[in-house]
Amino acid sequence: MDREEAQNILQLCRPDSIEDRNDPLIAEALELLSQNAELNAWFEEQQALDTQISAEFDRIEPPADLKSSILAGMRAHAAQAERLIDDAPKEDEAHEHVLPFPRSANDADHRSGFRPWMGIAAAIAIVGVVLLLPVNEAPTQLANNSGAPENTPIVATVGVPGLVDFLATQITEFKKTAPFEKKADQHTDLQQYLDDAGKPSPGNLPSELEGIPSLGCVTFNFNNCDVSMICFKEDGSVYHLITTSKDTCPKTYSQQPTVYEHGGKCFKTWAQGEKIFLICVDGTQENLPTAAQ
Amino acid sequence: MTTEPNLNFEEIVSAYYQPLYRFGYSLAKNEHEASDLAQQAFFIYAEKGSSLRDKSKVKSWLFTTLYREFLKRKRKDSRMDNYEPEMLETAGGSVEPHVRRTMDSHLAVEALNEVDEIYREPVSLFYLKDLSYKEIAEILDVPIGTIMSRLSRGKAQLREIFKRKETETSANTL
Repeated sequence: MDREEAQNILQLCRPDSIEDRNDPLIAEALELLSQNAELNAWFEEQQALDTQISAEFDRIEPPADLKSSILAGMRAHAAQAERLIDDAPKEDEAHEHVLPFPRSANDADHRSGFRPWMGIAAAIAIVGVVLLLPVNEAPTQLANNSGAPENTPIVATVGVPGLVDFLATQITEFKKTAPFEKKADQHTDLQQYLDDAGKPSPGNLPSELEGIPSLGCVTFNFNNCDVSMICFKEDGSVYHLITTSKDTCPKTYSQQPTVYEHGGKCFKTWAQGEKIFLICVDGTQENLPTAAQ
Repeated sequence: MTTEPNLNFEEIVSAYYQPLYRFGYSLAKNEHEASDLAQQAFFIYAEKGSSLRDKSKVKSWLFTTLYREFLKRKRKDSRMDNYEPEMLETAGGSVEPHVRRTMDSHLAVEALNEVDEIYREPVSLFYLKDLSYKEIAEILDVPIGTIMSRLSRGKAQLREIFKRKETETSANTL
């Protein structure tokens, strides 16, 4: 590690941050300080200024009532959810149980993030999850892959599976007219449709796609293998979650995610339980959704 | 209503509402919107947090949610039909005169406002101290190498601006 590289890494080390100092990369750069007086002087100067700037940031105080306002809103939300679950069969009456999300006094002249339709949507979603979601095997592979080296995706440049090649063509054609078999912004509705039709459905979503509104779903047949696809859209990006069954799919897929770039699209594939999952996006792997958590 | 989830909520709110507000403030430069963004992040957590499998990720989940909410609002406000991160990075709000008065006491935030747009988010998250550089990369959805580069350049800019403003402030008080 040369001095310039060490300086770049040491910039990441905040004063009094044990977590930063325990980071292997930063720790390696810190070891150089004892060997290089000039670097050490530079680092001390940086730390002093960082301390000063951090102190300035710490002076930004939230409104006094913000915490209580947030807690009140969350309690109201929890109460609403419990009442809805208790009254789950009376889905049509869900609107009557929606409680307003309390607004901060500071929000009086400002738009609130909460809208009545969000409460209704949340109510329907909660009831939907309770009533409709089967206990399918969840594609937890991706959900748990952050920080798990064994789950780091492999980027494959050769040997594109036939299913990926098939889907690259199908999705390109599909996008021209988007003939969804069913449209819904709640993936649970789409999964119910797929279950009723006897087509593969993903069950619990990979964490990358949690919370993203769905557009619709469509099914394909690849060499007598049923393949379903649910499309999601967020911030102008469209993500396709493809599910098929291990039993009927001719190729064996690894539990470890593998990334293929093919036909102007990127596919992340992995196997979980008895199912095979693919996430497809336009472009390269940088466009793949990332887990928020 | 059971008490355990509420206790968890309270602990989570207590731990993160301040840094979330500060991050929201650095993005929106407006205390009302910063409050709203923080509140909205917790509300989304109340709605979807149960699906969060790794509870150790709550912090970065909340920051990511707040950041995405900010981008959504900016996109809506600017009527940006196509999601282009570069466009959104330059879509930070301008500082209105009445807001600037409240920011005068925050020299660092004022200095941050003069840093190139692309560096602002990583630099503000860095100085909030609650997140590692790896978590910052996750939240902003950019590779770690990019974050390191942006932090390095952004911090260099911020330091220069901060020093200049300090000197100006000192000169004005003499």
